[in-house]
Amino acid sequence: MHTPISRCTALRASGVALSLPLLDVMNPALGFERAEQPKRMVLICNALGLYPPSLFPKTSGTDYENTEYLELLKEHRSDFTLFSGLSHPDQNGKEPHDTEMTFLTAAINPGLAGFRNTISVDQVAAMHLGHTTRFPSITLGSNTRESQSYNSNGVMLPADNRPSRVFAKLFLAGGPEEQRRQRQRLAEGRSILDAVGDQTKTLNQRASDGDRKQLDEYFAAIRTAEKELAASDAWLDRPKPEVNVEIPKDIAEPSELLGRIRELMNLIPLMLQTDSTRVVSLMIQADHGVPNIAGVQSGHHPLSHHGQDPARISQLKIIESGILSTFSDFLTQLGQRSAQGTRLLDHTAVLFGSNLGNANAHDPTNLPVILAGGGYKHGRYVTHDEDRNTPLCNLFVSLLNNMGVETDSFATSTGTLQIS
Amino acid sequence: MSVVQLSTARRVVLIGALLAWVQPAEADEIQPLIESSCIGCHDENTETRLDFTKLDRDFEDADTFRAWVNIVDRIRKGEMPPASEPRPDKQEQTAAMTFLNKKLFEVNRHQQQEHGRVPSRRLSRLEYEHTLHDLLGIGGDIARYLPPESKSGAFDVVTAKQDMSSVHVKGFLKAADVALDEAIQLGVKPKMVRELDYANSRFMQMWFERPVRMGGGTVFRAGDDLIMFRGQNYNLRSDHNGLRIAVAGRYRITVTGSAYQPRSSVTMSLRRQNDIQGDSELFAAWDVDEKLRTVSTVKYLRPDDYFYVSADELEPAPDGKVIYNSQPASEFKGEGVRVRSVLVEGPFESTWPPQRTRALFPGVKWEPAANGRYYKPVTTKSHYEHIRDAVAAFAPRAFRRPVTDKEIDDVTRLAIPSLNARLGFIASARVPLRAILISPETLFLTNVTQPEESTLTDHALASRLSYFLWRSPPDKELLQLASDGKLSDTKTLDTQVNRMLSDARSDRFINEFLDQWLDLKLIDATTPDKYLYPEYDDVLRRAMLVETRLLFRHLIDEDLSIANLIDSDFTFLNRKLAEHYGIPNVEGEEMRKVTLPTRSVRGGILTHASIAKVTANGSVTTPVKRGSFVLTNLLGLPPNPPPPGAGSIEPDTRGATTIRETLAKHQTVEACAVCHRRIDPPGFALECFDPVGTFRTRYRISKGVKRTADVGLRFLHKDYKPGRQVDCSGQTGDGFTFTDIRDFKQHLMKSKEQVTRNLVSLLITFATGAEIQFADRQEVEAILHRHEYANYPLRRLIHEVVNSRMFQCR
Repeated sequence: MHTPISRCTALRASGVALSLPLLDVMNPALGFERAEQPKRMVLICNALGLYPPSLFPKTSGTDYENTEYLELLKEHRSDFTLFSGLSHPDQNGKEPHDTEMTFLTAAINPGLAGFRNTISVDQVAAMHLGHTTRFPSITLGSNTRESQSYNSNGVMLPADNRPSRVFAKLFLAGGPEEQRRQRQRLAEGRSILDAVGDQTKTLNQRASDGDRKQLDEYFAAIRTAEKELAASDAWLDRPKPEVNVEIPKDIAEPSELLGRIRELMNLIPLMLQTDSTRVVSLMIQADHGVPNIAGVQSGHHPLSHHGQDPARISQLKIIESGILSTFSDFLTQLGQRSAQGTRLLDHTAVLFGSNLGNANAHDPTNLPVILAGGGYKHGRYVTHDEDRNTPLCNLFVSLLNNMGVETDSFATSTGTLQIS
Repeated sequence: MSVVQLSTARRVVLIGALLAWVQPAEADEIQPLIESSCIGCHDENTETRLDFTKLDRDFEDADTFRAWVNIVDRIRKGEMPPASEPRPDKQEQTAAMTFLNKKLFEVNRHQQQEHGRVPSRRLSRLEYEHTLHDLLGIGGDIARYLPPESKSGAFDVVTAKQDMSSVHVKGFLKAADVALDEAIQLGVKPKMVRELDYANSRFMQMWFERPVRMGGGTVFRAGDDLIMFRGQNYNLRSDHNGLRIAVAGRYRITVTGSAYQPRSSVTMSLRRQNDIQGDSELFAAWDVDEKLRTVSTVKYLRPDDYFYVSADELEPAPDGKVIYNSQPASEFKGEGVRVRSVLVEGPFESTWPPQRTRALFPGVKWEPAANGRYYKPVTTKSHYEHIRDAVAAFAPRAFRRPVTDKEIDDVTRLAIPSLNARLGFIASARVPLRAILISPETLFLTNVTQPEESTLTDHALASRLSYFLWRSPPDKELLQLASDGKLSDTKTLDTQVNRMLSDARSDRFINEFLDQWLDLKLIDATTPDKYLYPEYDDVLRRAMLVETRLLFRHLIDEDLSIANLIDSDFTFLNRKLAEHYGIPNVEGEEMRKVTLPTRSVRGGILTHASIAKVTANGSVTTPVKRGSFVLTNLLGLPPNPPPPGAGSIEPDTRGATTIRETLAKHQTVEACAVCHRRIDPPGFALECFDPVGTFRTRYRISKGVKRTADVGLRFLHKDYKPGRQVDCSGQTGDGFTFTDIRDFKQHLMKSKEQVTRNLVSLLITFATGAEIQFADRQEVEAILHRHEYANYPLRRLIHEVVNSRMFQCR
């Protein structure tokens, strides 16, 4: 069955034209084209899953037959790999949707007493890169400020959900007052560290040799922290990149689900191309209302609990097809060749997946996982055991290695997952 | 003289015999024993880690010292020479041991006197949280801003295991910032009493009306009451039902509710969740029946927290139907919970701005700003002088000692750039306050001593004492006693220890000591299969932890023998845990002391469900892990690590082979048996407890119920049938035969001195930040000796720890 929502509809809903071709909008004077392309990652979570029968083909390997959903991505067939049989273990939480908090962290038992979230995979990469770019990471959300990104203390890094704000943050110089405040805040941190460093030195003179080692370590740690603050401080003095695109307008209506997703996705190639960040996460969440899409009469979440009712499934598929078409357009943008013949997509690993394998049953196993770009050899459907899933974290370890993070484990990983 | 000559003669002979022999520095009392009983295996051709031809007598060297301590211990325990070898000459052995014991003691003692026994240490992340709580009068989770402590197995206070990095520094800076945000409240005075009216809330209306397919249908309205059939977080959450927490603080939440259509026990619970902070917590759980019950709890809430009334232990309808396939909800016959009202009072503040804000700025008065949106300071002198007053009041509390004028000025000066930039009084004052909170004087426990002595000053002693029993800075009374030079007096110390143990802050000591000693902090490390162990839930989990903590608390409060840790005729239960244990006639959610039925398997920590849980691996138990727990955690005699490439045991969960069959190799292959005849037997005895602590005579095995959830929403999980019989018998390494856990506990009782030795050593480690050293052993033995007559009462042992040289010297 063909999806009744055309891309034109989705474009109209988004309110702006697709910003293509990408490279023409960049100011070449700032030298965005680099001799060697850095590695990047974009992690997208579609929190209500994808209707499995429309996604997963019957046969695996390179000559799989396109399913209804894969048909929407057919022009990218050689640029992505579809995985099945991946999930995070021990995701039985208080509420099944609590796995929204753990898609990128794999912390166990979300929502139960004693639950404590842990660092998300994108933030491991962001910490590794540090202040190489202006923003160690950008976290986006289609609906609320809920993001998938959690720092090393398990605290959520709130998502930006307004494209105009993201744009301003990336490309517009702050007002003098805002800049002054930011400088003041950093200066304050540094002067505190400076004073505490002095105290540590004084204390060290009084201390016995037994005490000195600990204080020396603290002193060294303070100096490193100061340097790190200085590194982020330094970005304040560098001008933000200029891009020749219009400031995106925010779509206030939560019902414009696809438009809101598209607006945020449009910004991602810009931020990668300008090397403003190399790590992006995007959370796609439903609003409580009915999405404004032709043929849909019910909310996205209620429809995800379709109870095998064909009429409801077909409505759910309209929504999911819209999301996948938007994702397809996003891949098209990343796949544009530059004047030098390079493609962003080849250096950007794009993960599109969900915390739910089967949203109808709140089943957090057998997750839909699509990996595009990143320099991997693609074009396959890779199956893993449906009953004894492979930890999704094994794939995360591979993604981290691809980003240059030298590690052989992440969260619940039991190894690395070979891609291609 | 003749001894020296003889020895010299021997050396000459040896040089002739062994050309490669490394010369001992001097002829000594050890050599004869080595030659007669050790060198046969431990020479340069040895396959062991010990080669006497390469081990010299430089006891000052840390590695050499450790090697000799190990040798002494192996000989003392009779492990060396092994039983297969001839017995060493008694005189040679005594001479060697006497010499080594004396020498090792002297060297270690001398080092302790020269350099101190314990280096300074930083506060652990939890200690830092408690410190901020107590200094600033706030609550909530702050430790989360600091990186986790290294998982080295030792206590988080042990200096040798503590990390320090820029991540820590930035964490301390952030934690201090968050803490000051909560301490300084100058917004509008929040409303003090609010009611959550679920039955009439607009948000709930949506769920009442929605069909089950659209996410509704699990709640319905009955008059002014709300009836719910699941404990989900999304419809009863406080933030969506009209309650936004404006200000962090303590709130009382009062719930009136009852069980709806109960056929068995029903629990009504209250939970907190914070999606931003990424954590959740069971606030309280109450047993309810058909009669309405009003219950309340006081909790610290932050602005982004929400709470919700929840339900646990709900049974489906008698016909097996669950709420999802039995609509409308009002017709459903299963168990539920009725909620009549939820009242929220708080934040509890006697004045506004709150006392904790006022206390930070002595001498400053506060008045509402002209627009009424916040409070502003009314100052009587320059902002700089007011900030100096704040620093002068705060620094001595944080630094735990009097501070000099110069120190006050140095810190206050940090406010000047902000004052010059006209950032305002509070913004400027925060700079020096933050600096104090991450100062090394606050973060580190340094061991300042009396001049020319190794005894701690009274202020350093006060810090060590309060961080031991409260895990936070000394209060006014302790600081006053220290300033008066009275604290080190033994009688005063005893009085203070008693006062501190009666204070609620000592719960932190009990919780954190037990969390680390007995691995209770690992309670969530693995998850039992929901279908095999459906009875395990948050409410049971909490009761499990409380049982162990209350037992320890009780032994302290009543000064009872630590033998009760091995076996006791009482324990602490509520209805839920008693049902879990199969002990009748315990009602209600309150945990209380219960005398156990005769012949009960319970009693002693090894029978606690908490210990069964932390020593299980998800849905399976292995005698190896549990046996190792008994040897390591309880007895303090850890087994040697397995040889490289030993592999691990994969239990068979389908029930075809028992764990005993799987472990047979441990007994038959000698290389395994050397250690496993010690390790496995305690684990065999503990096989009678399943992964969640239920007493079992048969293993549970899956019936193979199809677990795919395609057919509908999961609600009820149960999939097991009795499998093969559990064998709890065995024979210990020293030849004692037991048939079950009761026998085994009787045997373990003979080791109560060793259990005490371990516990006293661990308490000293926890209190001082350094593990027991060779020169400390005598004092530990003396403590044991003094309390043997009374069967080692716990409270007196804690007093002994505080009165010991190890505690009172650097």
